[in-house]
Parts: sequence; structure tokens; C-alpha cells
Amino acid sequence: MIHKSGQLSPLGGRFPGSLSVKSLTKVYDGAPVVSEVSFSLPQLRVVALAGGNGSGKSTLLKMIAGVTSPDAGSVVWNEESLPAGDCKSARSRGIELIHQDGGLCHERSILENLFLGREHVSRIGLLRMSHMRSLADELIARYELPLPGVGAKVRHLSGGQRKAVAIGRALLSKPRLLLLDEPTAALGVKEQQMVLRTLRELAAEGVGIVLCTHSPDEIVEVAEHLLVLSRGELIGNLTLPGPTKAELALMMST
Amino acid sequence: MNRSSSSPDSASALSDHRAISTATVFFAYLAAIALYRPSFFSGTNLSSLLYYACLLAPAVLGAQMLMVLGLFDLSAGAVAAVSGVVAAQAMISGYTIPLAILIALVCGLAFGLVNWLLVSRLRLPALIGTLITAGVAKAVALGISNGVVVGGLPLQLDVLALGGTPIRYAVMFGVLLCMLAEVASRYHVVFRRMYQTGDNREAAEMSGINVKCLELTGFLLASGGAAMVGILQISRTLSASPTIFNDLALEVIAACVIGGTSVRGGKGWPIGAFLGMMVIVASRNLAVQSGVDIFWRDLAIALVVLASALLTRDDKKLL
Repeated sequence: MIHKSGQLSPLGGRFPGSLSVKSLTKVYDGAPVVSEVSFSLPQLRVVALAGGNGSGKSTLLKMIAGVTSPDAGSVVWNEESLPAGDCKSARSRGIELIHQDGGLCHERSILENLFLGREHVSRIGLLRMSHMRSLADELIARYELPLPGVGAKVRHLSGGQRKAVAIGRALLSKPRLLLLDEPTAALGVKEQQMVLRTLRELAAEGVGIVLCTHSPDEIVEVAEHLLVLSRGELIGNLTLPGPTKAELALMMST
Repeated sequence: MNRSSSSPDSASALSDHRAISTATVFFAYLAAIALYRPSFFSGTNLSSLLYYACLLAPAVLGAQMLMVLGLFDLSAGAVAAVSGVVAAQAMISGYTIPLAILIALVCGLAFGLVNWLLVSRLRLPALIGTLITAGVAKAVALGISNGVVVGGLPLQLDVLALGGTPIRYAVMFGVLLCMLAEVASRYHVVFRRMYQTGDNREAAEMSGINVKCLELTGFLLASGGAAMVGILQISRTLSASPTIFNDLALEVIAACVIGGTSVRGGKGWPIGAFLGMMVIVASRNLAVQSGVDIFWRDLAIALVVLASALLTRDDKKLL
């Protein structure tokens, strides 16, 4: 795998973490968006969370990350119950969520976005620019992220490059579990491949990955486990490789 | 892969064309003045322009940071007036000058806190929230001064605004503040976060940045700056008027816009805002100098604001 041991490695633990979710429920305006979802993944590597629009994938992901607080149920990560709706404590345990739109500041540089909210600063709050720049360069080289110099503005980047910035930002905090909301949506084929390749590399390093997706191709390509949601309920929980792409497409359309 | 990491813009507060636009407006304005009235460029006149801009610098720089967050403060003038009156009353009541100034600053900051409570906590629009504060501040200024100019301030007070040779302390202070703001806006984490929040508030919040806290900082900088302006004013005239600074809030906003700060937030640079204030002061000065009715000054400022706003528009389409 990659590369020399720099300041970025080791990334999290080398062993897969365990995630279990117990009767997680979220209700919006009286209608359950996620209802009573339970599953247990003792050795979480790459899990695909599939389902159509409105199936509750994003909400489930956000509840795991603590961004949204559930109306009922709990999330247990590495035998430890996470406080509900507390994204800071989820982060401190190495859980990082990458939003669908990336959550980037478009008028700011790649560097600023990589360190958004977690800048390295001196005692009086001055940014340690050269330190951050070398960390960013190291990260970009290590995962071969297709980014120009870190001074470029995000506004000028392609969709895939923006996704790379969003993923890079999560990686800088050495996550153990990476939650991605449709990481390949609205990307070209090449850029999709870049994102999937990066995810595979991370999985090989022991970072757990849960990604929402519509795409049977993507599931077959990267996932080792599949959860299928439909109208907020878990209707499929299976290990891959198993079903063919056609069977997957059929499952996801229900 | 091109990974040139030396690009200087990585922390840059000025977004490429905005700095150029500001400079263009500034120098075009100077050129227009040069054609119209060459005597404008005498050394004494220019240094007096710099002086008056420096007297207003704290308010401009504070307002600029607030505007970077996508907010603004219409109470600046009223807060400057009330701070001046409070300082004056305190001095007359026997407090020492430093203590009186401290009380006035705290008073100004208190109005900033009220602005923040109304806008960030009670979620009133900045337009409404700061207008309310302006009304309160104005009433307080009139109330504690009985509506008349407070005079008879200690003579030593004038050292703030008039002391220092050959360069006045006020000018040094204004220029230093400007430099400090410029450096901080590029390299200090709090100020960088203001730009990031102004750019994409949701992204900033999701990344764990305490946006409410930044907004408090912004409102305090704006009102603290306004209070300093009020104190410099009473130091210059040795009297405090409760009805002064009626135009300050809008002038300060105009200065920021001329200087390339975006009202929507996320863009702008402190030195630009200061140059914008120079343009406004120059317009005032020019009107007086050339014997044109002072009423036309606002027209000149309006035209400069128009030119600057057009040049720094993000969408360059015509109509």
C-alpha cells in the first residue's frame, strides 16, 4: 500500500471497528423518516447504505455522526454508546461525516478548507501556515488527491476535486470511521473512480467506511457489506459479494 | 501533479479582482480630483485627509470585520455619540481621564452586546436589531446630556486627537490599527474564521466553528470601534454633542463597499475599507475646499459607491 510513514500515519487503528445501531428512529412532522433500524457490524470495513430517494439513508448517517439527534434508539461504536446528537463527541471518537455538498467555503483556498475549524495555530492564535501547508502537501501526495497547489480557491475546482478536499479534510483528523453521503453523486466517471480508489486505500488502512449510494456498480466495486433501506426501514442486510448488479438494482427499487 | 505550495494567496484576505477594483476606484477618484482641483494634492491637505480618516478608522475597521461576517451595524453613529457623552459626563463628575475613557468604552461595548443579543440570539435581521440599538443609544445620549453639548472637558484630553509632532498620535494609532487589522485578517485564526463563516455559514458551523461567538466578536469590534471614534471626537473638540455622527453608520458601510468589502460577507480587506474612508473624507474636504455646496458631497460619495459596487460585483453581466 502507500507510502512512507509520515506525520499522517498511522491513520486510526489498524483493526476494523465495530458499529451497532439499535432501533434508531427519527420522525419529522409525524412521519417516520427512519424507523426502528437496527444492525450490528462487528468488523466494519466498507459498508454500502443503499436505497432510493427519501429512504432515510442520509438521516441515518447523520444520526450516526451525531449531527442529527434520534427520537429513539442508540449508536454503539467500539462497544461504547455515543451520546445522542453530539457530533463533537462522535468526532473525538474518530467518526467523520462528509456531507453530500462537501461543506466547503468556495471563496477560500484548498488549504483553508482542509483545516476549516481545526487550524493549527500558535499560542496567540496565529495560523501555522507552513506547518499546515506541509501536512496538506503530504496528505495530497499520500492519497494522490488530484488537487492543484493548496492555494487555489475551491470555486475553481471540479466536482471531483471538491470531493477530494472534503475527504482530505476528514482524513487530516485521522478518522476511524468515515461516513460519506453520496460521495460520487454528480461526478464524472474518472472522478468517481478516484473517489472509490481513495476509499479502498483507506479501508485497507483500517478506516471503517459507510457510504450512501444509489449505484449498484459502486456497491459491487467497493462494498463488503450492504444495508438496504426503503421508506426508513431496513429491508436488506447482507454480505457481499452475493447478489448480481441486476438483483441489487431490483432490491433498491423496492 | 502541480503542487506549488508557495502561492501567496493561500491566506489572502483580498480576493484577486476586489483589491484591483478598490485600487482602481481610489486612483481614478484621485485622478479626477487632480484634474478638477490640483491644489487638493498639497501636503497639508493630504495629511489632513489622512488625519480625519484615522480619526474614523476604528469604526471603519470594526464595521469591516462585521461586514465580512455578512452583518452590519446601523448603530455606529449613535454609539459613538453616546460614548462621547458618557466619557464627557464622567470627566465632569470628577473621574480621571483614563477611567472616564474606560467607562465610555465599556458603554460602547455594551451596545455591541445588545446588538448581538438582538441579531444573533433573538434572530432579528441586522437592519432591525441595530436600528433598535441606535434608537436606544441616541435616547441615552440625549438623556444624560439633557440634549445639550457637554463642554468644559479637561484640556489634557486633547492629547489623544491632537497630540504628537510631527506625526500625530491619532494618525499613528489609525495607521497601526489598520496594519494590525490587515495582518490579523490574513493570519489570525479568529479573523480567518470570520471570512470562512461569511463565505459559507453552514459549512463553518458543521466544521465546529462557533459562529455565534464570532458574531459577538464582530459586533463588539464594531461598537468598540465606534466608541473609540466618539472618544477621539471629544478629545478633538473638548466637548461632547449628543446629536453628532448622524451619518457615521452609513458612511462606514459606504467606506467598506468602496473598499471592496462584500455586503454578503466573506470578502474584503481592512486596508481597502480604510482607503474607502479616505475617499469619503476627501469628498467632504473637496466640497468644502471648492466652495461647492456641502449638499453635493453626498452625490459624489454616492457615485463612488456606485462605481465601486459595480466593479466588485460577482456577476459581471450587464443588466
